[in-house]
Amino acid sequence: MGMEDTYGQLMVQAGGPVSVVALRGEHDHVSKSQLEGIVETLLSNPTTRAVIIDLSDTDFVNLPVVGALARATERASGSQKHFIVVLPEAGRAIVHRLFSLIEADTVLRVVPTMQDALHAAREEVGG
Amino acid sequence: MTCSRAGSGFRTEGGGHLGGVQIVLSSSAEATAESIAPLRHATVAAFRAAGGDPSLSDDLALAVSEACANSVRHAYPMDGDGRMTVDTWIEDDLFVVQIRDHGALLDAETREAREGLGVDLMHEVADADVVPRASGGTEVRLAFPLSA
Repeated sequence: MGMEDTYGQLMVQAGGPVSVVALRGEHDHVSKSQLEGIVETLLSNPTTRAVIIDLSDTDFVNLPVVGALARATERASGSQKHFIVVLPEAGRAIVHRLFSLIEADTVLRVVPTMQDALHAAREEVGG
Repeated sequence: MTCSRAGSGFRTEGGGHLGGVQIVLSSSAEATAESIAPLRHATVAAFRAAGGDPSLSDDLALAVSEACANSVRHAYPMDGDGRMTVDTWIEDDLFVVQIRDHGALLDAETREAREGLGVDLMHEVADADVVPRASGGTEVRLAFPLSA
């Protein structure tokens, strides 16, 4: 019946100019504030040049989460930092469906692999 | 079938008939963020149990999530202990989902905020109606074909 807890986890890899936040499981209003807090902390860190959001193991996101990512993209751009979302072709269909319905790629920078994201981030930070 | 979930006051019952309509599921939960995922899961499970095409499950999940999220955000601005109800039934080869809250009558500004991208998404994936209830609160009705 699917009544088990499926709340998502946020896995953060930080410490250098490029930070990665992986969203695992399901993410909606319950985890949105935590995600926003983590991203704001990373973007406020003067050593951060790029933040990568990894949706490879994301089972669900809702509109407000995508909205949070869009606001973070603007926030990063205003700070001359980079905000990149990884959504692989093999990612969950429901995440692709939402991104397609709302044309998320018009407000987010979406790439298909972590390698692409790291490459773009390192080029942009001059690494 | 009856399920319960600690923390959200989640209650669901399945089966039964009402006025010739086959009731598939009736769920009720506190209008909190924590209730949205269980209601979404229960609705998708009911759709699949009713023989719904799995390829439509994602659209159903997205629409139900947005409808419930609107209730959580807007229905009970003064106190957070209100509830939202999700009823589903089969009608003319359609799987119908009704999401109701029992909040206050909405002012124009709140109604405009509520009728944002989430409502657009509901209209995109389903035959959707969003109507204020005469007694207060809002009712969202989503109709999905059982087969694609």
